Amino acid sequence: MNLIEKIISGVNNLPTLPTVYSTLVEAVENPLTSSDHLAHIISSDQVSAFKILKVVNSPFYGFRGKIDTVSQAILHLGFNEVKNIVFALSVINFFSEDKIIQKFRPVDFWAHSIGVGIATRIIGTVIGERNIENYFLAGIIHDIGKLVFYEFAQKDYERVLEIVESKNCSIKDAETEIFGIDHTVAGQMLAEKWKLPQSIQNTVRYHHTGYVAGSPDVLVAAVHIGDIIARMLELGYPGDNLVPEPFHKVWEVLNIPKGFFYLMRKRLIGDFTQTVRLMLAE
Amino acid sequence: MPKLVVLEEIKEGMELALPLKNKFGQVLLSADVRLENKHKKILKMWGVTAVYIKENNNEYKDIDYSEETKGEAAKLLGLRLKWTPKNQNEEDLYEMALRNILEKHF
Repeated sequence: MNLIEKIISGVNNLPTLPTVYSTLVEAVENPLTSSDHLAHIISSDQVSAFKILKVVNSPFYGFRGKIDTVSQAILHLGFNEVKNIVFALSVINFFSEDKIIQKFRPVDFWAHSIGVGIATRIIGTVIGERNIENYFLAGIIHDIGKLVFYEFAQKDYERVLEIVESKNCSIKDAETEIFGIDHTVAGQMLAEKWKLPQSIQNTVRYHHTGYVAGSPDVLVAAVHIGDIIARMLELGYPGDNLVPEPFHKVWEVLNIPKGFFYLMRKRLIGDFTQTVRLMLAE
Repeated sequence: MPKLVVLEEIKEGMELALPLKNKFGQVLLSADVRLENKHKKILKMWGVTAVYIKENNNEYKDIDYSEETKGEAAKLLGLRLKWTPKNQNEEDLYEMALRNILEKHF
């Protein structure tokens, strides 16, 4: 079995989505489900419910300690945003087990991903995007393909990291050298397997290009810039130290006000520090 | 330094730090507008949930660095960033990264 076959087989044998999330998705598809019932499903896992309340009360969401119950969280943030937080916390938990590569620890990987999530959501807010509930999640799971390699080809991924170090190249290029595919392709396999929404699948597949197969896409463009911001500010570690050049067309898609990034830096770092602490705490 | 404030917490006299735009990029309210109670009602009607307001806080004042120090920071950044800013947004990103290095390493 060659490396790509090994990875495809690994993805195919992965468990389906975390239980609470699957139950939630099923419940929301039923038009008779009430928001109280949804809150009850989330609250059935006390640890998750507690973590969700900590995250929604973080300064990042702007409510500051006023949300006491999962029902209130659904009321203020909307069901989709809360569902996305449930999913993000489940995936972080799923992929932060015992496997450790010294040059690339899961905690640093997730810190980078959370940094991208925060930057992406802030971009969504400033450009006046009304449906921003997917922005945080899209940023958090954009690099999920790296975890596919990490999980199913750990020894080979150590070689990838050695190449990054010796050639000072991007992890994406080093992955292609070893596996013949990069994490955007591996990530899309997993996103498809988990039947994630197409908008999220697009960000996993196209966050390096900023465009979806030649077409503009606001969410993909926001994650593209969110990734660059997190790298510039050294929020966590994505596997290499390089800052890629933004694709020039994304600026037309996003229409970001002049001076915004410089002004937002401290707020973003503050939100990042607190959110990482809340989401990655045991 | 702008601060994101949810609609419920907007108080009379707060000033917008950034222009408020809709998803088509049209400006609904300009930056520097002093918010009054009537604005809160309008924002609610428009479905706006949060806005960026100005925050006057000394904690956020930027420190000045010498040109020499800035040059050293630019060299450090150049080890990781191999491109040149080509528009205002990219210059803004670059300045953000440079300021971060200055505060972190100098």
